[in-house]
Amino acid sequence: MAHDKSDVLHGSLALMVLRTLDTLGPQHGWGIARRIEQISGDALALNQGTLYPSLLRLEQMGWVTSKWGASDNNRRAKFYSITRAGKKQLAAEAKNWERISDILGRFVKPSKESI
Amino acid sequence: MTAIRIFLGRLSGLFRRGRLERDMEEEFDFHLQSQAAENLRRGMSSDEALVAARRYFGGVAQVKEAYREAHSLPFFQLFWQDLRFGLRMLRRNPGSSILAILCLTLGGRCDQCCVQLDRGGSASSVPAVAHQERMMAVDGTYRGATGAPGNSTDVSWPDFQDLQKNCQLSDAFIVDRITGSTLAIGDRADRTTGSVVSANYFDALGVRPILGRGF
Repeated sequence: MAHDKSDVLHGSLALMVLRTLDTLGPQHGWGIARRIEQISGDALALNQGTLYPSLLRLEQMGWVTSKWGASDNNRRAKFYSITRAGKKQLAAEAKNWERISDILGRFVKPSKESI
Repeated sequence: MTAIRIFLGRLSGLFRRGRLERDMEEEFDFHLQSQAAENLRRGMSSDEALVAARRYFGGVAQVKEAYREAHSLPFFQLFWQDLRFGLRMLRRNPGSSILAILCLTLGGRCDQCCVQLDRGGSASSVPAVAHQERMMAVDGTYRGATGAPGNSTDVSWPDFQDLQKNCQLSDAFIVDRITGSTLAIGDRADRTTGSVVSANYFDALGVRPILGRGF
């Protein structure tokens, strides 16, 4: 069963978090974790806890900010939002991933010309 | 810029540890409770729901440790811990502490003396040698020498005499050939490092013996 889920590639978690915050707006950690699992179709083996040190590092980089607020069930929760620098980083990282994925694609499915 | 920002963030974390710790506990608790509620909606029992929430989260203790590390400077924290431990130990045993401080002080002074004696011999900046800033070393060489270590030769005694007699650039010339010798005091003898030097050695260096005479 464990092989049905893929490990989160190093460095890709930051991209997922930034994309989630860019799309959904301010979210608490659990909301971000749920969104990542939903988008991946529950195919990622994400230890939800690993999200928090990653969020802290993104905050230290100045790519996200956090603020305490009230959740849907009226509990105090910490909400994260993407900053302008975070949006720029997201654009750069997305471009980088597209490039890497394109290169890997050429290895996985080599065209006749490249063989 | 990013490295400075991270450093400052971590540094400020050192002074807000209590608050950061409380925030982390509250944030993780919110996460676990929210996941447990979700698990309940999916049909798990209340006990099972919380256990499953913890499982999805990964090791809670490990995550907390990783989080603490990310908002602190481990080097400073360890240094501060060691310092506090040391001070506590000093306060607990004042007698042995004074002894330790005295030993360190004496040890420090001895080291300093040895370094100064050694430096006196090699003519670097030491108060024992007058005008050490005006001292220079002259070495011999030969045709075809590359300048690499070991490619120099001694200056001959006639050359030394010529220099002494004719060179106007220097106040004095001295000769120093570092060699081994046997030092005997009473019935005890030890092999030691010594120098064969010219008779004007101490006068030129401006070093006066406290007792007795030079040459």
